[in-house]
Amino acid sequence: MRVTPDANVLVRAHPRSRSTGRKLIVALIEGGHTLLLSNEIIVETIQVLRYPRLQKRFALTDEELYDYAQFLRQVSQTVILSQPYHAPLRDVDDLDVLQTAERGAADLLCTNDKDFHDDPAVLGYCAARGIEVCYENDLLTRIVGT
Amino acid sequence: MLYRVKDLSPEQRHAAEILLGHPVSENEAVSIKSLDPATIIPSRLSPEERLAALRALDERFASRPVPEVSVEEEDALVREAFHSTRPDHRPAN
Repeated sequence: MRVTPDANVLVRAHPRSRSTGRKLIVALIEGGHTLLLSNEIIVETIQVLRYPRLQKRFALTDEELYDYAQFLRQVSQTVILSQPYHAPLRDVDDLDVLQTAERGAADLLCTNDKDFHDDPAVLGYCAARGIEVCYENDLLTRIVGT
Repeated sequence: MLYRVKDLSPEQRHAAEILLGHPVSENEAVSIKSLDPATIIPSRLSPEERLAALRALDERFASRPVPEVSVEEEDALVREAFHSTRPDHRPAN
C-alpha cells in the first residue's frame, strides 16, 4: 500500500512513544509498505515535537529531532508539492497533507484530523482520486489484526 | 476519477482489468492513476534497509533513559502542542 501519514500520526511515532502512531509506522515499514511524505509534513511534525512541554517530557534533544526528521526522509518517498493547490478543506493548513497524498498517488491518507472524516465533500474529493481516508487505529488493525 | 464498473463500456472494463491485473465485478469502482515521476523522489533504501534504519534510530534513542510517559499523557500533550501551532486543528479525540 501507498500510505501518507499525517503529522498528527508522525508526532507520536518517534522511538520514545508507545502510542498507536508509533506501532503503525513500525508496522508499515516492517510490512514493506510505501510511505509518502513531503518536506512540509516532516517540518510540521518536528515543529510540533519542538513544543516545549512535549519536547521536555520526552527528553527529546534537538539532535534526536534532527535524526528523526532524517529518518523520515530516508524511509519515505518524498512528494514535491506545488502551489497553488485547491481542495474543499476548512483548514488551509490541511492542504499540504492532502496534496502529498494526491500527487503521490496514495491509496490511503492516515489522519486523526476530524476535518477529513466528518465532511462528505472532503471524503468525496479523496474517493474520486482513489484515496481512502482512515484513522491510525483502523489502519493498524487492518495491517496487524486485532 | 472514480468510475463505477457498471457504467464502463465492455472495452473500458477490459482495459481496466488489464491495467489492474485482475477481474472486476459490477458492484466495484475503479480508479486509474497516472504518476508524474518528477514530483516524487523515491527512497534510496530497499525495504530491508528501511527496516535497518528503523532499528538504528531505535538504538540511538535508546542510548538515553526513556521517560515514563503514558499514552494518555502523550495524547494530551500532542493536543496542546497542535493547539499551540495550529489553533484550527480538530483532533479526533
